[in-house]
Amino acid sequence: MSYLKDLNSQIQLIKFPHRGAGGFLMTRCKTLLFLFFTYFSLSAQNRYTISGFVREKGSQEQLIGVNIYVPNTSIGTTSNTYGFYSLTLPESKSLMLVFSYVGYQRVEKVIELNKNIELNIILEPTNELDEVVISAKKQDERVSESSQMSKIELPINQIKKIPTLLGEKDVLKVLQLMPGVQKGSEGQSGIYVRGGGPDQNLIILDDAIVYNANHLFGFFSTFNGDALKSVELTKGGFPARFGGRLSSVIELNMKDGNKEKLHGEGGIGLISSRLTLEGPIKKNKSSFLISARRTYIDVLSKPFIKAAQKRENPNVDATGGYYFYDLNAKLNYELGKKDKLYLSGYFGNDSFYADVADATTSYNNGINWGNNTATLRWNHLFNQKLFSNASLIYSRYRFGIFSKNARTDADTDITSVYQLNYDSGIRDYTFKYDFDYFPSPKHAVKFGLQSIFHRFTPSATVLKDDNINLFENKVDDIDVVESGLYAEDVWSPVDKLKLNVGVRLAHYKTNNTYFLRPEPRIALAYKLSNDLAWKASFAQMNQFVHLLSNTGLGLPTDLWVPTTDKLAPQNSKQFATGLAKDFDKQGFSVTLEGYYKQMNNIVNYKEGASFLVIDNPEAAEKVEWENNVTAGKGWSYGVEFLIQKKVGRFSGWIGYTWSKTQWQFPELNQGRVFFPKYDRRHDLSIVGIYELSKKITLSAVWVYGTGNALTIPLSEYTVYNDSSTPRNRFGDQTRLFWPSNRVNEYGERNSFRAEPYHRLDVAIQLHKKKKHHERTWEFGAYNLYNRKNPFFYVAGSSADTGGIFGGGNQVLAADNQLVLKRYSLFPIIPSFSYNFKF
Amino acid sequence: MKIINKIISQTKLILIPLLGVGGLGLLSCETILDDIPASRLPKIEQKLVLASFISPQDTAVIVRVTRSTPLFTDYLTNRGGFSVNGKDTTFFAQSNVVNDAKVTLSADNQDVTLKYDTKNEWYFISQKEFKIIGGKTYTLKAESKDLKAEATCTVPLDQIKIDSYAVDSTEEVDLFRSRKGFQFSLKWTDIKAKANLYRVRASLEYEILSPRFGQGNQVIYTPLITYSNITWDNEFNSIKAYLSDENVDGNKFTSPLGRAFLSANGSVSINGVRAEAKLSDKRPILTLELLNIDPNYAEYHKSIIRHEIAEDNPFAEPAPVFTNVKNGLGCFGASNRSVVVVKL
Repeated sequence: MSYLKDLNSQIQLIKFPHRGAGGFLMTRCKTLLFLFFTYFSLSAQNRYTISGFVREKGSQEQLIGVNIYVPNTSIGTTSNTYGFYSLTLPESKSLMLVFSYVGYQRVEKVIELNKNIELNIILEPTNELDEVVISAKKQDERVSESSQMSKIELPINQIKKIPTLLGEKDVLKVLQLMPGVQKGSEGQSGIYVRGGGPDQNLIILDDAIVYNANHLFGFFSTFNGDALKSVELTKGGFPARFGGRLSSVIELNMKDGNKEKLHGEGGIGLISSRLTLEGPIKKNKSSFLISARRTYIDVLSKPFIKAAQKRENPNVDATGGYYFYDLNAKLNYELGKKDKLYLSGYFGNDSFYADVADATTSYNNGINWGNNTATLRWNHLFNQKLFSNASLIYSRYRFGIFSKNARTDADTDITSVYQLNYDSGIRDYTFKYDFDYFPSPKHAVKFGLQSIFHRFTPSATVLKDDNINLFENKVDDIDVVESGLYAEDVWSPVDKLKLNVGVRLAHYKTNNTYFLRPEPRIALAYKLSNDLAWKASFAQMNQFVHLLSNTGLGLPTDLWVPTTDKLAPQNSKQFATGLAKDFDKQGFSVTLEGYYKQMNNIVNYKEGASFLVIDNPEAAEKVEWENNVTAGKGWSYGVEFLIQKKVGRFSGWIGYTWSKTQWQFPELNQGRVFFPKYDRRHDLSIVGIYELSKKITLSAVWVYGTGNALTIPLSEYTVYNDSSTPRNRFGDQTRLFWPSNRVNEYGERNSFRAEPYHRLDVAIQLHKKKKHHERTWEFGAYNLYNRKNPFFYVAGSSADTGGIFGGGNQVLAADNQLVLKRYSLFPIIPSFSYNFKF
Repeated sequence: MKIINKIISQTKLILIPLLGVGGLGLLSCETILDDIPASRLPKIEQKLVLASFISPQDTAVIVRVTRSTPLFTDYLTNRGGFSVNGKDTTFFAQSNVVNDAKVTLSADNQDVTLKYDTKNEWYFISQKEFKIIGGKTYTLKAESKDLKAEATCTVPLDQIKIDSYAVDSTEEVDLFRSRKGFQFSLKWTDIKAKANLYRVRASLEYEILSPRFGQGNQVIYTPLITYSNITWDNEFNSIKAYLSDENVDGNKFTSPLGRAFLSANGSVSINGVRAEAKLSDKRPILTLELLNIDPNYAEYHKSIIRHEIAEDNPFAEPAPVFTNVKNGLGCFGASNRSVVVVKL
């Protein structure tokens, strides 16, 4: 409380008289600046700073979010993204500091604080099986301690134990198992947070925005768990340092690479294989990490495709296939005690190709898409209290179609070539400068700025033809600057209360639009008892980039477009409140949260609007996307419950969400309120991991969700076109009013509820330590009880069999009923994989 | 432009494996649902479906009346279909035709009842008996058993003159064949201070000689009138054939580029002797039309195109087909048109 008195007297002091009206503004500014610095640099007598980095034993990996606190007080802090911490405390003869972090043995240090101290700490990972002892020591990171709410942290080693589709470990799919976070369709890695769409998630990998986090149409995410150090998802109460999306921030950090010795990890699975290598370049000074993954369906199927083609027509060579790969790489270098450099990159690509050739002609067609990101970061420690990081970031998402045809004239032997390339995508250059300032144990300040220079390429076409000497190059770029200036303070005015107060100033500029919008953010936590806290938060967000997604699936054709004079930025206001309780003895925590979120100017397609460029690149290129989308509003509210046990022999969680989301668009459903497709009343996930022994890990996941809200055909009828032009109306009657097609009549938008979705996945891991390495066999099953979950529904005739494409040699019966058919995607899918570590 | 056509057809080659792996190919099963309780389904009822497009330039008014087939009911759907046998595709009729309806057309307190034509399965009245006039509003009513439907439309007042047109010959080459054809466009001037909607339409009529074997394996050719498919800006069934003067009121208009090709498909063979169909020497006839259309006509036809695009993509948001029929489905629309017939 003496601290508050100090503050008050400082405020009194600076109320000096103004020097005339002209200097008023100037004086105000100076006053504010003065206030700002005096506010944080209140120099109580004999305060000293302890600061340093927290690292992992062995790898020297810097640890994020380690709790550093003085036992039996409310004094504490956490390490930042680079493992740095700083605490400024009054002089003390014997001060006990505790360093604790989930999955690591806690460290207690007793120090004599009579000068500024640099204290670097090494934490040692614990063996899960010894957990009984550890949890009794209250080692867990406690949810009741932090002012942050609506945040999910995933321990990477837990992700690796959870059963998945085809054994491919996927961080985004694990996030989907958390309350407030939902999956879209079966098997998809798209993330829906508190009624928001997958376009409203800010996905950042080492500070770089990842625009399309999908491989293989969303069945797998682009993130390779082996290369990751941490994954955090924030769904509400956003700190001011984040901005630009409405619904969530998914922050992923790559490992820095082992600084002491070479270490490797890898696996061979059904879909892909992966390998990660990390090690020192110069011991304890610099290190590297490189991690790669590639699928091999194409390689395996190539001979079969070739053989099949040869059987059909021996003169024609045909191959085709699909693959994806991703590559993570990171280098870091310690320039000195105060400076560190990090260079990291991600390169991922998906590719579909089909090549056909005979004696005179060849076709090469394909579709490619992928993200590239690169981040250069410089950490600088100005002093023990002020940490800074400057980042230069490059990010690019590209989707392309290429088509090349070469034809050799048999008579003249002249080869003519034509070629079409279609591209769309987004490219960013970002500059970011962030500061962490730790003036006293009661304040932890972050401030900084960020500027993103976006270049949107909604479409670019390059066309070449030797024959008619045609060369076209159409590029339709839009340049945009998006910036944010922010300051936030985790402030503890009284012992029981912790606040995170902040503001972000969002700025956006294109040729013809300009926005400057302040975004207030506040979060608070009040301790009701030692292990129980009440939390509340409010956040306002703006989103200046929009994702045009035709399908709701993670198709590569999804297109990022900017805010323009016709398309306003999306914005949201979210209020959340809840309780967090730690059960220290039992080693688990419980959170209960409710939220209300309002969203304005959200974007959706107009009815029937289409952007599927694959069908006709030439036509799509002329599509005026601004005319095909429509804006509306939405609101969502819900209650989320999570009981989580992060460590121990038995770990896992139960997450349950009750929520309701509604949309209203003037141009959709005739202006009436409707449920968006992914409105979900109930969503339940149960995740359990059990370490049976040192050699055996068992795990299981059960999920349940209310069915999607869908628009289904209610009836079918024939439409007639006024399409023909008989010169004599009665002369050619058959062509007059040619029935165009059978079409569907739909009811209210999304008025049909799909059947509920549920599924059980299980896995068993067998670990064995060998002389030089450790290996793990994993056997799993996805959808163990073979539930036929709905993927989509179509109305069709009861006798109509065969594929959805119709066609072929099918004969439709003349008389039959119109029925609803459910298509489901994955039956029970067993999988196995072999993983190793050295 | 021919390149683009080729690329489009090629790109579709890619689309199939793409969708194949992307989803449909992985579909494990199709289940017919017959156990969904009615309470879970939105309200479903059968409706009358009307289709009539009137024009002062027509010699008659024709109205199609059919019924919709609701989901999960005992109503049978005479779904159209086709069977493929070698190169021949046979289409079945699509029906659900209503032949017992009372269909009336009225304007200015005058009304007439249309007659049913059993052969063509439609209702009609000659314009000698009931004239369609530009600028007038007409009401169409149909009643069958307990179903009733009604729709109104106004015929656009002006018949817009085609200022000029251009026709050129062209050729399309791809891997398998080369085809001769024509490309064409129209020009006209919009009427100022009036909201106008347009549709351009064309047909190419030509004759092919279809082969068959007569006595002594002698090849006999039979002349057969054929119509070519029309593309506008290289799209079949193109939404670009529909234009509006919104923001370009009073301007001079040029249609998208229309294209049509001549082809003679089909062959017969006996004992290794093969005879191909061929084009006759008769000159093809190109009919170019400019329709000044009412909003119902425009919305309905455009929505059908959108519906078809969305239907091909099971993941797309459904695109409802426009209707201006009260208590029913379908469209009652009108046009006022100008025609140019060109012998090529």
